[in-house]
Amino acid sequence: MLSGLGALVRKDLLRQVRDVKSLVIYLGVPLLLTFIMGISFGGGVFGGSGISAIPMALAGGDLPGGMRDQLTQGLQETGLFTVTWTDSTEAARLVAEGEVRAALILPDELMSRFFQGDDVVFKLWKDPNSQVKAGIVEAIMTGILGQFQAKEAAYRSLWPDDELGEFGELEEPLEEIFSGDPVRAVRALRTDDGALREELLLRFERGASFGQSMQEPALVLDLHDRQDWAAEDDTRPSRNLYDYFLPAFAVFFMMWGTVAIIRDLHRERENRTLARILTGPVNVATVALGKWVTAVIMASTQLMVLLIAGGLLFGVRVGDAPVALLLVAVATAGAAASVYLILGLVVSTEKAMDALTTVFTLVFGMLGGNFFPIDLMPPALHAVGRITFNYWGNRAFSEIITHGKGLFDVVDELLVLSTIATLGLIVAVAIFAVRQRRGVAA
Amino acid sequence: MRLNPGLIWTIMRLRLKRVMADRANLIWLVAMPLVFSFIMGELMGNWSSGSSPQFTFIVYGAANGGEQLAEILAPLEDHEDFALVVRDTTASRASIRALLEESRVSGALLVGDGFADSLAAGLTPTVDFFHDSERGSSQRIRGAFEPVFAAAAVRISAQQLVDPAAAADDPGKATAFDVARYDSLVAAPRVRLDAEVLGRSREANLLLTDSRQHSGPSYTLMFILMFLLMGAKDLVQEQKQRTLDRLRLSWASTGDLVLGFFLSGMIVGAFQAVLLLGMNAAIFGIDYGPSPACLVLVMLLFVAVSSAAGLLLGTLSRSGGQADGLGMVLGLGLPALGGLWWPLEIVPPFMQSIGRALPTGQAITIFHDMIGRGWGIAESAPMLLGLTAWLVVLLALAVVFFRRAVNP
Repeated sequence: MLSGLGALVRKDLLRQVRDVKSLVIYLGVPLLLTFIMGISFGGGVFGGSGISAIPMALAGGDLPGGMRDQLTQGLQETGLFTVTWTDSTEAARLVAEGEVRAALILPDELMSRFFQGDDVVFKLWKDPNSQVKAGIVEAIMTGILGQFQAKEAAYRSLWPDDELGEFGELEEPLEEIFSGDPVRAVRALRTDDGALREELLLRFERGASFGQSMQEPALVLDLHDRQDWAAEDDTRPSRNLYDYFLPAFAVFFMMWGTVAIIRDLHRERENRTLARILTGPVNVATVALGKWVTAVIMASTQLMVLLIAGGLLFGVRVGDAPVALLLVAVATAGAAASVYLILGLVVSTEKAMDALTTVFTLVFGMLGGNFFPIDLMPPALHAVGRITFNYWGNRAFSEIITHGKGLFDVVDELLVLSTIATLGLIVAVAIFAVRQRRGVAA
Repeated sequence: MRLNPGLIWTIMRLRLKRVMADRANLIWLVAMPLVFSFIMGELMGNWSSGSSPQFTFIVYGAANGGEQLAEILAPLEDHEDFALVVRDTTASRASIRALLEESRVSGALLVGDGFADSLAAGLTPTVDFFHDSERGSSQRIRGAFEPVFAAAAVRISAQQLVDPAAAADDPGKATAFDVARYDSLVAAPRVRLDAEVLGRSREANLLLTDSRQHSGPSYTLMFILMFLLMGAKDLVQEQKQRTLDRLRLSWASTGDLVLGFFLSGMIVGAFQAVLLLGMNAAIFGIDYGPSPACLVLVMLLFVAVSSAAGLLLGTLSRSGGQADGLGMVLGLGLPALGGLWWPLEIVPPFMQSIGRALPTGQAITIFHDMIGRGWGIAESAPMLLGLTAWLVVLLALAVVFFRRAVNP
């Protein structure tokens, strides 16, 4: 049954290897895209990874110089912000024109309003085109204020009579503390008849007691981050983004490469080569198997060459489980070859196949996680992604390269891919046989 | 140089006929951009909030939590970003981890045995919160849950200072804790943050808050560029088949040929732009801002730049395969670098500079400014000038190389 298979595979391989331009595209483009993705998100040789410091403006308020400097220094030392002090008109312009991502506008008479117990409303103006960075600013500010709000509410619920701003003749000297002259307030306390001093001491004592109780939480929230437990499970947790991008693009371009090989079936039919081949000692099963074997050899070689190149160029860690990597490459290539063989055989012309496989490859590329890590997708799309063969290939590569797993950890993925490859090949041969019976195979 | 409008029109008509005759082109012209806009919009999720919850925050062991837990969770019911699912039954940590790993939930809370009793006894119970710091949906759940948990923890800690007997002698003790006052003060704090987006009306949902407001224009631009770059192969084919030489030998000048190919690319690109922008507006409700003039201008310039790039690529390529390969490299590389695949604000500053210097980055920046800031031609002038500069340079190079190609 398989007589002539070797010759068919040799012929197809020779034809593929001689097409240097296609080889350059299928190998060069994924490397280029990986490079772009890597420097965009991974830092690499061009700088640090992660989101760069967020430019923000601060405006308004009547903070004493020292507090203003401390606030600026505190924000900048987090490494998250670059701070510019300005007035509110200029801050609005900076935000509206996208020169800063957000502006925090402090209310007028901030300190006296705060200590008199009046409402203190900070305004945060956000750049409409900065969903990510302006969102980070809002989240941080909300988090800081949230803690304060809860504690202030708790204090006022314990001692409702301790309202702020009820210091009578001490009020004016107390305000001086916040404008940089604490001496006057201390002198005023010394000359006070004692009642206010008592009141102040009472509040200091309650404040100290309250502060102590807040240091001993009544409830503990134990956070379990998936990234941490994944790192604990990993023999070699990876944070090199090239580790994700390179296998993802390699699989995606392997899909295009496989389409090009299977497409030959239509070219051979249209220029009657297939008819001549079938007059020899081969049947349609051998022809289909020949295309499948060629596609598997070329596609798995393409994957391995790309991964090795990625290891050399971008430091993608491919060296720990070479056997597992090779088996996954072959299984992914086998599944791809079977799926595209079916797609190639259900249509009758090369053009129709191009149209069908283009849509198929792009949609499967998206759903299977070749453009976007599948973990980030909404649950419904995540579930849909599992029906794509490339999802299982991507997942197996991720386990080996990103998480440092070995052959036994990707057995499930290998089984799924092998099943798709085997069943797909059987279906493809059956379709080809039906086409031959109907006289449309060649 | 005298131009022959009749010949230019003929070249344009022929190319249009060729494009329209091939139904497979419809995939690249219309179907794929819309599929990409839809799926990538779904994948990126809504950058703001307000859509129906697609994500689940599950609580296990609610029966252990008693009233205290119910109070903690109450503010999270009917949350706009996620659905809160409360189960009285408990679950193992391993099974909760698996739920997160399989993306079946985006956050989970495990309340252990004796939570309520420990709390009543003045002990410090611990609850386990499972999340994934690299998932946006998980971050939102954590962002919503942590403040309400912290507020509850503060309240419980404060309540431990209540000791009516000791309060008379110990100023650090209180006679009571006014829960209603606490809740009202937390709900309406006197020190607060009012966040506001300085742009177009948020209520009207016209801001760049829905990821499709990015993905719709992005994939329109990307597929116009890609289609016109891939069309370079046709020019190479005509050179190979000596069609251009025959035209030159008869009555066509280089100017006629360049204009014919350039304008035919523009018509194909403009057709694609109208179709895609219109369908994106109709299907996904994308709004392009208050300045139709700016929209028309940016699209005309971008289509012209893409057509000139396709023309230049066609004159520089020696074979159809080479044009295809370079077309694919540029068709994928320029959108990736220019911020069509993701917002430029999340890449390092030097990559932002590169992106904004490219026509793809300039065009999408104009779109973002139209949609988010409501800008028009005057405000977008620097970026429009940038696109014009690209057009002049690419067209000039295309003319020079075209002339060399047809007059060797």
